[in-house]
Amino acid sequence: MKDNKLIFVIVELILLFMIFIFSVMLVTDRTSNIKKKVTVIIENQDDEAWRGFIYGLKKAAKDDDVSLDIVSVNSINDENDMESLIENAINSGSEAIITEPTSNSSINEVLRRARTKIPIVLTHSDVKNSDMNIPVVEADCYQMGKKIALEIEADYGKDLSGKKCGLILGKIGTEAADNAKKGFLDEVKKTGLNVKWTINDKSLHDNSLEILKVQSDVDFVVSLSDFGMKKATQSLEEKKLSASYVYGIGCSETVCVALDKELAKCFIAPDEFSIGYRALDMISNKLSGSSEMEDEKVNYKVMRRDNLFDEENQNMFYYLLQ
Amino acid sequence: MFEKYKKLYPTSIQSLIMFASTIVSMTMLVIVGLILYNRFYVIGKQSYIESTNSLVKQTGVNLEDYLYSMREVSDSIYYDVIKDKDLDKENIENDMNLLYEANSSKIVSCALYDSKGQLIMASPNSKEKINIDVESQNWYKEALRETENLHFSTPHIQNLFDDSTNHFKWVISLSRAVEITRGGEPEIGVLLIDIDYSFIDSMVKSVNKSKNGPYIYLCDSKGSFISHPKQIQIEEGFSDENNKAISSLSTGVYKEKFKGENRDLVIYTVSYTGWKMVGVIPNRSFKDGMMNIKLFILMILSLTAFTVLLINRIVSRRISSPILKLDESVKAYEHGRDSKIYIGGSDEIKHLGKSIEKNYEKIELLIKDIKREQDERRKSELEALQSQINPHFLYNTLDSITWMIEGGKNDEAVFMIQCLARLFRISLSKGKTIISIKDEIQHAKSYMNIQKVRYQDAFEMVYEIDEKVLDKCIVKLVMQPILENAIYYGVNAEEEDGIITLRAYEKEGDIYIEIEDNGYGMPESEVEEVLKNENHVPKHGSGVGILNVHNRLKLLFGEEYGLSIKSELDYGTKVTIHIPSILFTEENRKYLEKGDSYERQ
Repeated sequence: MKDNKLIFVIVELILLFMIFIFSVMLVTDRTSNIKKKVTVIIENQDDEAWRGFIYGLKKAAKDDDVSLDIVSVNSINDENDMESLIENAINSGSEAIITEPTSNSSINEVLRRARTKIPIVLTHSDVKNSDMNIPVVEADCYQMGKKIALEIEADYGKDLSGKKCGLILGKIGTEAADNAKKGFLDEVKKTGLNVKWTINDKSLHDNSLEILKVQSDVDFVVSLSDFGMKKATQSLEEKKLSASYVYGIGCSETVCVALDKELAKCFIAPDEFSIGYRALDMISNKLSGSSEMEDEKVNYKVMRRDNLFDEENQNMFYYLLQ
Repeated sequence: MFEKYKKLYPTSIQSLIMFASTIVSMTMLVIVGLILYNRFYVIGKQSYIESTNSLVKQTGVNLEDYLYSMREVSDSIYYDVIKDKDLDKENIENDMNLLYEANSSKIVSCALYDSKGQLIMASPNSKEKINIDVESQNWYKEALRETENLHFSTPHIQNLFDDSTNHFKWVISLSRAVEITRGGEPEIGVLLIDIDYSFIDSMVKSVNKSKNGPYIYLCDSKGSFISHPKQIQIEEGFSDENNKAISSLSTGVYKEKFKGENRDLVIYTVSYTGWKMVGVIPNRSFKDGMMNIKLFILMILSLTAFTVLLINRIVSRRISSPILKLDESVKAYEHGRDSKIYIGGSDEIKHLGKSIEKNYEKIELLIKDIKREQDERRKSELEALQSQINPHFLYNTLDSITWMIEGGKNDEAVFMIQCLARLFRISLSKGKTIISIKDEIQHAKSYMNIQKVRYQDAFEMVYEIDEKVLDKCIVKLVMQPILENAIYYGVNAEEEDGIITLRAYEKEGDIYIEIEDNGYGMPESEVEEVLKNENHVPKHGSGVGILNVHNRLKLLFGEEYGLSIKSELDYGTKVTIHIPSILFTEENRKYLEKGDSYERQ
């Protein structure tokens, strides 16, 4: 009899507890779950070259239900800046960081230390000469550099002896810039192309138009960065650059307009949307424990005036025009 | 297999009622819960589909209105501005600009091309791009392919005019073949109105607020996207949509399984264009929406189960409590703890209690009757036994007196008669069957005196009587048959050394009266027969055997009392009377004489 009473009391208590739990679940908003937060640290967010990348990040964040915090700075000058940015991100509750490596090796060392605390994904480039093994989402820069050379060959023939070109390099000190340069030079070295001058990305940032103006005449300019392409085509339009066309790597509406205006002859467009989307998707999967992170290469397209508005290239404008 | 669970089976009536009613209630609750959930699910899903259907239809109608207004703009430009005017002679620029300005929030540009793809007029005034091949553009080709219709293109980047702002524009081209007149000659031209795509895109996006819920997208009649919340992800291969398959479907509600997921599709075909506004309801989103219903039903079920259990408990207690009390009272009655039977609870239980009580009363009466009958039978047996003694004894005594008188032994005869008188006085004892040991010994002495005279002092009588036992109770005339046997079997009439000892003492609360002779004794087998075989009657004496005395003592005092015999051939026999030590009082005498068995205090 006593056992029966005990069982009855226990069952009634369990039922009461269940009623309480269900009631609480009914009245509380279950949708207000705490999202995982990922911080993206980039330089010059307002640069339109980031549009596709940021759009990709935002779309992935929405699809994966991740809170995205994009931290933009004018420039990351030293390791203290980067360390401070990472610390702030961690303190604000971020569980992972996406960033682009810089040319400063001591800054990259900060990333090495930070990756022991939270997952980090690099975009657009790996860290030069590094064994950090931080996963990278990027386009194949070597192949893009090489592809530019091949497109020049397609326009001018395989014998480029007697042709002169100016070369604008990518972000100095990054592996992406080195690879793109190497890919281009590897391809053109057998063509006899004379690379008349070379300027780096940083010099262009400091004094873009003036520095281009003083360069010697060339048949065409090759830019291995979007910024370089924009500046070169702008200089060309303003007749401050003595060259016929600009070739290069680009990912902005301005570069597309330049191509449409035939200031640029051809450019290689890395899939910036995919870089952003995959970087965040990868880190989101890592945070949810469903997969490990590995290096990933995204596609690129060869854009010319005659295929710029083709149906298969229209989707690029979805993110370039955001 | 189920043996180990048998101990869990309810055994008490309350548990049984509780168990049975709970099982039935819970089963009903689960069934009701499932039916309720199913009904909610079906109705909820129907309502979900209907609300999505309404939304799709409403958005489709809004889009139709919008596209209709665009067609009206096209019609206005064509019929009010272009048609019937010689473009070489009349300037239509102002009229066209006017119409453009009136609709500039929706229109990016409008332009008129001739049959060779040459721009005739454009509003706003823009510089056409160099090296533009209009004839290769789809909107132009479509307009000339079906000249009687207006054609809406899918969204694309406008590739016609130089834009001073260096920005591209997403447009949907509305093109139609128009009849133009130039220099008096009619010819075919193409009127193009580039509609701002952002308006249609935002119209679709505005109804796609939910992240995991149903969503709406717009595609053309071939399934090519016009607007989709995940268009870029699909184009880039990060997501997927079954858009090509729905191109063949007309307005209605459909079910499909896509990528392993069941979905409901609501399709609205936009008039004139053949575009399809598609509402997709993934099953998952509906199930998410049903979560609150599930929780609500679970809460109601839990609450009901809680209440039902409580009610079951109360009802089962109300039903079983009187039964349990009745059961307890019956058990108490059976164990003699309480003689009152519980009468209470419902009418049926009261009736049952009363019936049991009546039955017990009847049983008690019957038992009393039986006991009374038994007591009376025992008393009558006692009396019968005592009445057996008297004739024997009288016969023997009178025989002795006769023998004395005949022998001229008058003094001895007088002594005998005095002894006999004393003997009778004690024998009669005013009809009492219980007398004091003192009287019984007196009786024994009178008897032995008579016998000594009769046997001419052939034996010696020794009395070893503890004074303490004299005032204790004894059944009268129990010594006489033993003494009689001691004389007949223990004393040799021809020898004069026979000794009969009468010994009485108290030990451990009991009285022991020993009658010992030094006569022939008996073999062991005969000793056993004396107290067992009723047919073993002495050949001499009163005829009342030792067994008779033994039975009388046991009948009155209990089984542990009575006679015991020890005998050895040629050494003699000792018969011991074992009785309880009961003080001889009037009260005790009456008690014992009532025939009730003695119970040791």
